[in-house]
Formats: sequence, C-alpha cells, structure tokens
Amino acid sequence: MSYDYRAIDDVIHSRVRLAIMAYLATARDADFVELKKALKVTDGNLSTHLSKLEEKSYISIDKQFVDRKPQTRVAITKVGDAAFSAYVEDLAAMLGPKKQ
Amino acid sequence: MNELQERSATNDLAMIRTMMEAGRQRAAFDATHLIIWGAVLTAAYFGQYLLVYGYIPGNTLFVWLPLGIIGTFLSVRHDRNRCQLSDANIAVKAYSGAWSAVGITMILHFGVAMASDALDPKVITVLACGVIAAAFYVISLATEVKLLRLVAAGWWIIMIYTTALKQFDAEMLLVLAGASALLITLPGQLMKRLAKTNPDEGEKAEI
Repeated sequence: MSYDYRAIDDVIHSRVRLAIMAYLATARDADFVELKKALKVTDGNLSTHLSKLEEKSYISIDKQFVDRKPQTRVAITKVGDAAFSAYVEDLAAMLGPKKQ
Repeated sequence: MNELQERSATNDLAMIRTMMEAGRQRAAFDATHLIIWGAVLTAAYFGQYLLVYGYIPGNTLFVWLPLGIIGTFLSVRHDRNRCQLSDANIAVKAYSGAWSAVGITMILHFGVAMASDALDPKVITVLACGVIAAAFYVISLATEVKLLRLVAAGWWIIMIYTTALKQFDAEMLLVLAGASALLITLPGQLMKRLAKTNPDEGEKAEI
C-alpha cells in the first residue's frame, strides 16, 4: 500500500507547531513563557503559531491576570490530542511498514 | 527555529520524542511544594524537640498548627501565582495524588491520636517515614527521576531504624528534622535545578 502524503495534517506539519503539539501532548498545558523557553522562539513567532493551532481548536488559550501580571495558559484539547496522534501515525506510515 | 531546514520523517519523529520528553519532565519537576513542606517539617520537628526539652513553652499543637497553616498558605500562594497544571498529565497526577495520600493519612492519624490522647511518637514517626517513602517511590516511577528512589530508600531506612528502636527518645526529633531537610527540601531544590537546565541540554532537538 502506498502512502498518501496529502493525508498529513498541514496545520501540525509546521515544525514549530509540531513542537508545540508534541510538548503539550505530554505536559497537557503550559504557560507562554515556558513554551517560549522550551521551543526557543520569539514571542511574535510563538503567538502566530499558537493562533493557528487555536483556530483549528487543537489548543485552548486562556489569558488571565495573576497579581496584576498577564499570564497566558495554553492547553491541548481533545481535538488536538486526536489530531496529534493521527499525525504521528501518518508520519510513522511515511517510513513504511516494519521489516519482518 | 528554521522552517527551511531539511526535514524528514525520522528527523520529525526524533524531534517529537524530544519535545514530548521535555513536556513530561517539565510537569514532573515543579518541586516547590517539596521545598515548602520540607522546610515546614524541619522547623516543626526542631520546634517539637525544643518543646520536649522545655526550651519553648506550649504543646504539640502550638508547634504543628501554625507551621501547618504557614505551609498551606505558601502552597496555595504558589499554586495561585502560576498556571494550574492539568491533572491529565500522569506525572502531575502521581505527584499530587501521592502527597495528598500522605497528607490524608497523617492528618487522620494525628487527629484521632490527639483526640483519643493516644499519640505515640514512635508510631507516628514510623507511619510518616513509611508513607513519605512510598510517595517518593511512586513519584520516581511516574517521573522516571531515579534520584527519588534513593530518597525513598532513605526514608525506608529511617522507618526501619525507628521500628527497631527499643526506646524512642526526643533525640529522634533531631534526626527527623535533619531528614526532612536532606530528604525533602534538598531533593526539591535538585528537581528545580533539573527543571531549569533540562530544556537546554544536549539532546534538545533542532526545531
């Protein structure tokens, strides 16, 4: 069976968004600063990618003030969980079946 | 981050694995509660020692209640000042579950023992050491931090030593104060250091 590369999720396929999803798949949620540190990206870059993931409902973004300081919390959603699992399976399929 | 860098499925899978590991470890390494409660227990055991020898007035509740309130206040304040972690993370679930179990066990035992005037210092010490050791062991399995197994072993050694003691005297309170500092606060500090250094260490994937 040949692999259909068009099946790959374009939203997750971006390297930065893939890293965000992989991180959140295990951490479940994280604040903005922590994500920025883990991914080594700029504020603007991270914001752009988070917005794209939020548009697809892969993550939820919760902005709040704690002690008068803004705090942004990002969490993976069930839709995001399913999409990430499907993406990883697609990626593994790209490598082809395991040799016996 | 360089979107233009060469990509391959294997490269992506390696990056995914690294990021998932980083996410898992981040959740595991928020050890502020260990530092807070290690310090509280150190102070409480030392206070109890001073009380037993008459260096300070009052009774057991006079020592433990204010320190318990301070510990709770600091824990709640720490939680309020940071984003709440989801309990869907197995490491977080194990961490909070294990310490909740320790807290419930000790409060139940302490409360009933005080109310029925049956507080036995040896029994409560053995129980505390046993449940703390169990909590560290569970957390070490969930977080894969092997250092915590040594900490668990340390508490079990103190439990065995206390159980074998024919006569339980107040000097044991000093041992427990030291153990709380060395086997709760110190591992907490080490885990926080790991949390700071981990994301930048060698295996970090190029994104």
